[in-house]
Amino acid sequence: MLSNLDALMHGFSVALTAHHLMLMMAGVLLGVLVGVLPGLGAPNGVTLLLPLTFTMDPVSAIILLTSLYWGALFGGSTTSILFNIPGEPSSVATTFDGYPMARQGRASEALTLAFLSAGIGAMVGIVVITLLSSAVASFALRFGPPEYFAVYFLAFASFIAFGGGAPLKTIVSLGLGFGFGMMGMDTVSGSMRLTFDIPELIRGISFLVVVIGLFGLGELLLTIEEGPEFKGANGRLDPRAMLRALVSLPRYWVAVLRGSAVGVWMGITPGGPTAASFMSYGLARRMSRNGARFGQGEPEGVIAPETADHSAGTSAMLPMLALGIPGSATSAVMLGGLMIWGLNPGPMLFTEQRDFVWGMIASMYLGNVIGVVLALATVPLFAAMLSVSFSVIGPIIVTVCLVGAYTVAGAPFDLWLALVFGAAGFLMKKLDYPLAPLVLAMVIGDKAEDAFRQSMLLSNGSLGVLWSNPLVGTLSTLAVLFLLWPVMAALLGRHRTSRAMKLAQAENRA
Amino acid sequence: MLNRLQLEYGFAGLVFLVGAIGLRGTVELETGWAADGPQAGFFPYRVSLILMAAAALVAFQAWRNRAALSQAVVVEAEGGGRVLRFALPVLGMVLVAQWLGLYLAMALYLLGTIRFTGKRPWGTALGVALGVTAITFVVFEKWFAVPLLKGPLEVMLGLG
Amino acid sequence: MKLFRRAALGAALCTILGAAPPAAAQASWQPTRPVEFIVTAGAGGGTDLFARAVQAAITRHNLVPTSIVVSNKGAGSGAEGFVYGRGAQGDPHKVIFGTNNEWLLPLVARVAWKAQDLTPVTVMAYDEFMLWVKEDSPYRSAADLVAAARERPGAIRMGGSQTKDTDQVLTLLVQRATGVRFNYIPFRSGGEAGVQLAGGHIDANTNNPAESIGGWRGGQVRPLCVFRPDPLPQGPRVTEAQAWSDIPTCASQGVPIEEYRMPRTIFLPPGVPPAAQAYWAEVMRRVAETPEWKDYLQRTSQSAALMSPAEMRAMAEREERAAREIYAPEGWLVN
Repeated sequence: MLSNLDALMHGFSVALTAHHLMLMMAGVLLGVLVGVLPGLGAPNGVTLLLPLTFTMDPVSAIILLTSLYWGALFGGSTTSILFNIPGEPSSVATTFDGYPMARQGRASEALTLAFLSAGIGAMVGIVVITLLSSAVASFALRFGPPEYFAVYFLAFASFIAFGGGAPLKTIVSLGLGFGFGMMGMDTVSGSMRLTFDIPELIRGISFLVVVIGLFGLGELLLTIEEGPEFKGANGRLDPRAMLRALVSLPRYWVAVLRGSAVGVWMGITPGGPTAASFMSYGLARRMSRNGARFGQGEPEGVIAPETADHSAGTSAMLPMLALGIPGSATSAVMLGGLMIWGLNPGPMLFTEQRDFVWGMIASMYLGNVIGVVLALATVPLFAAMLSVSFSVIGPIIVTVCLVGAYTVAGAPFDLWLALVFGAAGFLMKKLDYPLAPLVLAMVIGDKAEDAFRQSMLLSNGSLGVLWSNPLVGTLSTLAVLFLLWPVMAALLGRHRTSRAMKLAQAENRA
Repeated sequence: MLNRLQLEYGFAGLVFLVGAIGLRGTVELETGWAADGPQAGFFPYRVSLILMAAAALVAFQAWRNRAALSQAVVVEAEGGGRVLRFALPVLGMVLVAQWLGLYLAMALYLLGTIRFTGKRPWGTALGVALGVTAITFVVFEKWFAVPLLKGPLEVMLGLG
Repeated sequence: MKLFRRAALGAALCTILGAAPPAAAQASWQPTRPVEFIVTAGAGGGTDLFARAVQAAITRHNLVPTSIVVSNKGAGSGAEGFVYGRGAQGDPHKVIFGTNNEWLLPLVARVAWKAQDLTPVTVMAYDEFMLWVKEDSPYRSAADLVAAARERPGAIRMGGSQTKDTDQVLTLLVQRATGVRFNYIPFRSGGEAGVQLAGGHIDANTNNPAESIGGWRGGQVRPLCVFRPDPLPQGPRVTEAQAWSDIPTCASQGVPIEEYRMPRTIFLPPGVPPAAQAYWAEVMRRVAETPEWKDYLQRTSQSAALMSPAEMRAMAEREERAAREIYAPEGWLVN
């Protein structure tokens, strides 16, 4: 570990030059821009800059690209909180409590909390990378198909089991999500599933288009129905609210730690930032004393997914470099970049390219600090957008949503899909169908199915493979326990819960 | 004026239909559990069945609660009208975008809604419509080289 | 045809506006609008790197007068991109980058294009296939691996990218040639199959050199043999002791498969004017001469190739016939 600290110091000497600091600033700013726009994401930004990096030396190149990634992660939260439109897939869970906070006039507070907790999450992720770089890579190698399945299953169980919502409607929502996720080509059998010979369905239904419809357009329709103006959204920048948020952050240290732990875990295994944010939100709702207030503008509901999202994003860089596992579309493009710069991801990178690896790790510390500062500096700008009259900003949001839906695959068909899911989102909200399970099922459903069927191929169809070694056995057992949690809780405290349920139902009806 | 019961029935029916279509889609797939684990249609088949069953149960629950639910109004006439006035132009924009391209559709939509639905002066409407479209064009086509849907106009101008 | 008329109209307008190419070049075709490179693979995949290397060479040397955007349409093993290209009937501003999946995919999946639909341009490179095992595995040669598979039929786990795609076909060919049976496990990409091998979750895979070079250098996996008639050409050392050229051919190790390679192909949509086909063939010929392109081939251990459209068509038809024979007994053919 001490040698790692030495290496880190060496890394700082590489990263701390005026040239590199400039690159970090430029990268973060560009990242915030692509993160804010739902149609553009970090992968677009990275591909845009890739040709520029061909003439740079690899350290400068990776510093520019990773800084852009951090910027995009920060920017993605902004539109989630202000308009309920996730700018990045991994900020879907931030909408659950961030948007209600903005509706209550606490936009500045929500944004400040989101950026700060995201910054802390990122720091935890980087510290873990710094200290455990050698151990993490060999740990990640232990993940075969059964382990992957167990990780997805665990993320899924911890979100679903601790969620609210009527059980039947949750099942409908899940079923729709799994069903939409299965469309397109099946990896394991190579056959087209549920495509009905329609060419537009070959690529399946993108979960981004669904999210833009359900959350973005659906929410606009709800807002419109309630009244012609944003209700209670306070557009004025309030420095005192930002300060209050800053002061209140230490109170949420448990949530921050839990979110970071979940994020690091999902980053290394690697389940990915999106699944991490959902899992963290689900766990926080179950474990927090304020769990009942989740979904109605609870600060902890913003902190939990944000810390997890960022710590997963940063810690996933390690398996990417050491093993060549891309944890996200962005890192897949970066891997392509590595090859072009003449580097091969693999264990040797850490011994042969010390300048590159440790320069990058050091730049992650600096890049995230710069990210927090720049993101906070943009709060007034975005908060001011809320004070624009809805009759102007509403239609603009519609065009941003539709442009975003189109860019996902460059398909005019997706515009129709976004409209359909917008209408569906409106109806589902009206009828108290929970939307989050649908999104989560789409995100991890088909990956989990692939991993499950690969495991079955490995074991010749025996489920025992999910308990075949201590690692996968622990994961599977935990997942099953989580999934059965509501049942067990019901058995343990039947009387109490049933009364609470009746109360809740009465409340719903009213 | 829609009451909750009608809406519950309607959406449950929709979900049931989606499930039935999914079931139809698994007809040509293997839906069993073979020696090497579940086949391609195993999960789609079961998910479709579960969807249909859950939809039927939701409808049944609504029917049992029909007295209370038919009293609950979910969409008021006024709010519903606003939603339609907002949604129909969006539909129009998507329709127009299919053959005139996204940029033109977007400019027309912004101009129309801000002027007529929002009742803002022509100047504001025109400014926002042109401004947003131009910014979108620069950001997507020029900076990020992400082409958006284009129509005959852009081709004529040599931009597409 | 509508799209083509539009393009023609655009060209006509350009002439009026004075933005037209010099009169001498007017007989032949030249792009008049931004060109779209359609990649039939996701970002970061082998085909993506291929298209971006071509794009980099073109921009660096100004080989095409208009701008180029690259778009990834890789869903369904690339079906998305080919269907899109098929739909851009007559538009020579769309160039499609792929592999042999253009003619193999329509055999095994119900997709909305036929192998002969697209207009061939050229094959620019061949990617090699190798047989890989984990560094500490007991198999020292391909013969050892085959012997183990013979002893325990179906117990040796062979990983690969996708189902009914090149890796699984190669596995089938090895099975046929040696009379053994492997348990084939499909993953989403060759990279994933490489990591699974390094972790010991599978026993072997058939990755391309570029997909596993990091693992080889890092002492996680090692190549047993290469599916070529002769070993790879001399080059710098990859590990302390060995270079690619030190890896024997599979045929010499008792796996009688002389050659199995994957072409990197370029197509245009159906119904483009022959002048456009000739134009792109010429552009690619000049790309192949750039140092950037040669550097790309060397870095990814691929071998150079350059085919005329007619040669490419003939090769595709030959490969398709051969594939039909291999696929039929497996019950893979859908049309």
